[in-house]
Amino acid sequence: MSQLPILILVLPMLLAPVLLILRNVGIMHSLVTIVLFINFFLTIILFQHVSSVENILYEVGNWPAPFGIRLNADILSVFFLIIINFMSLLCIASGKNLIEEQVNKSTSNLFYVAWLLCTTGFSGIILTDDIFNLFVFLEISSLSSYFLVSQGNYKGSTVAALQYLFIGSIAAVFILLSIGIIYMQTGTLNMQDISMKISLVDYNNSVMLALGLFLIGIGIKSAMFPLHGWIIKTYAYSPSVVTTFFSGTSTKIGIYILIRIFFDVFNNITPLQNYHLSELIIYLSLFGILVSTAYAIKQQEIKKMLALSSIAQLGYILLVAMLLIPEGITASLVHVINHSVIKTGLFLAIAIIFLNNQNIKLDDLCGLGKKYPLVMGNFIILSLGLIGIPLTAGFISKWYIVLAMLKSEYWYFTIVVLITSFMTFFYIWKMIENIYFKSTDNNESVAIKNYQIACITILTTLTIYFGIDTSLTADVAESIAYDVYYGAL
Amino acid sequence: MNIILSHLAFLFFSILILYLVRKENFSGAAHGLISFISVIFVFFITFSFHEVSNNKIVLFEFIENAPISFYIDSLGLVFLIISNLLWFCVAIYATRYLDINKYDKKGDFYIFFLISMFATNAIVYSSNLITTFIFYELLTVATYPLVTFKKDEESVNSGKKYLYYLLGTSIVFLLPAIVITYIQNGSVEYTQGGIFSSSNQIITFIALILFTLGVAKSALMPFHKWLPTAMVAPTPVSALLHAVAVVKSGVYIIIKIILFIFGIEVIKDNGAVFIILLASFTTIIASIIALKQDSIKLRLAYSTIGQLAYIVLATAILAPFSILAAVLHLAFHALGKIMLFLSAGIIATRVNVKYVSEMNGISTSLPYTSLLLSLGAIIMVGLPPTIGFISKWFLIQGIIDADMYILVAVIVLSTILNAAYYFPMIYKPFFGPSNNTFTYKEDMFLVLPVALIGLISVVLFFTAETFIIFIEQQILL
Repeated sequence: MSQLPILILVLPMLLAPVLLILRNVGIMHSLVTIVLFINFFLTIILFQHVSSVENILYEVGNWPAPFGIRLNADILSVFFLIIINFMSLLCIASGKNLIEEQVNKSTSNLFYVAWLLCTTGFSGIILTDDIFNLFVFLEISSLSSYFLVSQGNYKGSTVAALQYLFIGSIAAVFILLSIGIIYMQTGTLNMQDISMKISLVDYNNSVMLALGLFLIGIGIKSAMFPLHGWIIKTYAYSPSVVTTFFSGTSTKIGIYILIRIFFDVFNNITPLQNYHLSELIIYLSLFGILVSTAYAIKQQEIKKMLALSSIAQLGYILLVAMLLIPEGITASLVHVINHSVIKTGLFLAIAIIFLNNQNIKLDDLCGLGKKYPLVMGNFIILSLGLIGIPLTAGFISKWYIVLAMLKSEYWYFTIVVLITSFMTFFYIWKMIENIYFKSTDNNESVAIKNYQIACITILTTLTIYFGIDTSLTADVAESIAYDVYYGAL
Repeated sequence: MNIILSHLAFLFFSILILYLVRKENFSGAAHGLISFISVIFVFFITFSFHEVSNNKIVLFEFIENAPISFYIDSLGLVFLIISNLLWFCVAIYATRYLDINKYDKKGDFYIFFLISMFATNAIVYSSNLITTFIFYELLTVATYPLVTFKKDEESVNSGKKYLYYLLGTSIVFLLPAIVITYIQNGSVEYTQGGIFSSSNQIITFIALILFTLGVAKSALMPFHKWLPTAMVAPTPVSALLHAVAVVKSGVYIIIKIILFIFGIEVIKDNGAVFIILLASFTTIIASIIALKQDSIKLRLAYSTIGQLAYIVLATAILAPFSILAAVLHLAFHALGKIMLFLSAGIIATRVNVKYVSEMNGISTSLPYTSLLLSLGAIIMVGLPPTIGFISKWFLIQGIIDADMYILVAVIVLSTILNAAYYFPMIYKPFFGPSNNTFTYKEDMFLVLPVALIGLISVVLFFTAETFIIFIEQQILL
């Protein structure tokens, strides 16, 4: 049982070089699917263990903690680990013909390799207890992400990948610098060690500088307004299976690091309260939510619209987390999982219908309700979830967000949250109207595979399930939030 | 198994059956049968009311202290009986109406109609604000396909407006109101005497305003515009949903919030005046606008807005007699207005008359319809000997009890306006100069359900006393 964390990291990493010598894409795909499935299964077991028995601390290579690298599987990390591994599995399982269609045959084995490394990188960020190791995994996942993005066969793919690379590297530099300063001040890289020693260090400007740099780095990674620029092009020009994967995971990793570093590791010195950092992020988030929602309403391209919507939703997640009350952290975590499920489902629906289309416009949705009744039925339910209609996961998110807002000292900003959440309805409804009420002369249709329908139905079922039974989302999130808040993680 | 849950489960599985067996002819008949069985359920609930009343059934808890749970009280029972009885009548009417008008996709129509009635029944049964909110939103979403049923430009635009108003207000006002209630009191259950304490007046007042604006289904101004636009829907929808189920759910929720969330004592010196002002304003302005409408359906829609405000007004006066009047008017207005809508539907389909100015002399070809239309109109104006008179009588009695004499003027003024805009609809069919010759005859399938409703209304007038005694015992403890 204690080997589980390292197993989750090593399994995909070991498969990656094996793929390099394989030629058959079919075998490759099934191998990757199997390994990711095993990985997902292992995370479930890990979750069971951590939530009912105890946290797992695994010392890599048996080197004791402050000197060696340690993996830490507590309830917060397992919560995110499940999301990452589930989404990775689901996207690969539903994406076989998407990858065949969009990725160049000659590089498709590299694509799978990058995918596995990216998943490992994400898992590693979540599991590691060493702040420099976190940076290493961040780089592993980022580098493979750049490659994944560049594999799109769209006109803008290369540019998007380059842009992502530049901005991502800047973020990496900020984070590295910050880690350096922290190491200088505390003399250790182990997170729990830092957490203890940082309060002994003279509370000085260099620590503040380190945290500020870290925040900017993480802000870029989690598409915090106004550092969100890369996300729109990346989502629009990646291969659609990559977009689907990233929509549920990559920005959520940023949120995880933020919660881990600022709420857990630096809990003792309350960095967010000092220098009004949390206040700053709250105002930026509010502004970001307003702007990106307004742009989403104007946007004609579906993928960009959904990307803008993601920025707004991430704004909610950051906003409530920065209220610095346990209810806020609960709402933030609940929305992380619910938004992951819903947005991945929406991107998946778009991806499997428009196999190889560039620039999918609003008008391209016309008459799809008749052509693909099943997929579009799912699409509708997921959209209702995004709006926040009761009995979908979105309503639970909205309930907790409004609850947290009203309980906080920023209660008067609830009105902004409510109005923007109603504005969501405007752009969603543009799509639904086109799908159901307009007809088209275009009679081409794509053959939808059964496994793709199954995958999207799983996400829809989850959307409804999380709207009814909240024991897996809200209850877990609440226990994490109180642990994080009272420093008992 | 509990009878309330059985009723809801029955409706739920009926939806599934209608969805799986989507055959044009089957759906209509099945829908009629489902509504009939639903009426039987309601009869059972009525007769075993003393055993089932105030018995909470918790389905599951998804937010702490705010589970999805159901119960039935006497106020709910009144609404339940009326809505299900009328549903049955409209179900018969609808099969014929859709045949004559040759709508396609009838199967979808019945499914969404059924979902709407399921949501309405669930709203009646719900025992807390969360459950109410869930089915309130479901009702909005389920009626949207019915409003846009014709799928032309006009109905799509109206549908959008419909959603903007109803979803918008519920998200921006109703949801925070419920959350405030939850934070303030730790509970959102409907409780006799209310759950708000009178300690924090500002928050109570804010919550009250949010609730009043948030339940836009009650069509109080300024969020009333959705109701006239929803009139593009086929007649059965306008009749049952937009004169009974949807709008009355709104009013029902407002009554419940006033009585069982705030409580008479708290609301008395904390915002009742606000509701009274808003409702009075709405009732008079809506009547004036109705006077100017030439389209029959629009005139009826604005009349509905005015009459709904009556019910809210009567509740907010908070005197025992006025609350009695509110409950009575909830039922009686439903009966009268649905007769008007259904008759208007018959007139529109049989002789293709959609405007009041064209109604001259239609009684020669549609004598029964014209008679039923007149009966409905008289109920709406509130003249004796019809049920409309009873509720108006108690309303005035309540006003006098509460010493708010100025409101008598409001009632009188709006009654005069009511009479003014209904008078042409009574006068013209019978006595108007009939220069155009209609050759159509009555269609008995369409007339019979309306006649049945007319009969119920007449019977109710003579048996009103038992009704009143029941409400007095149960509600005005």
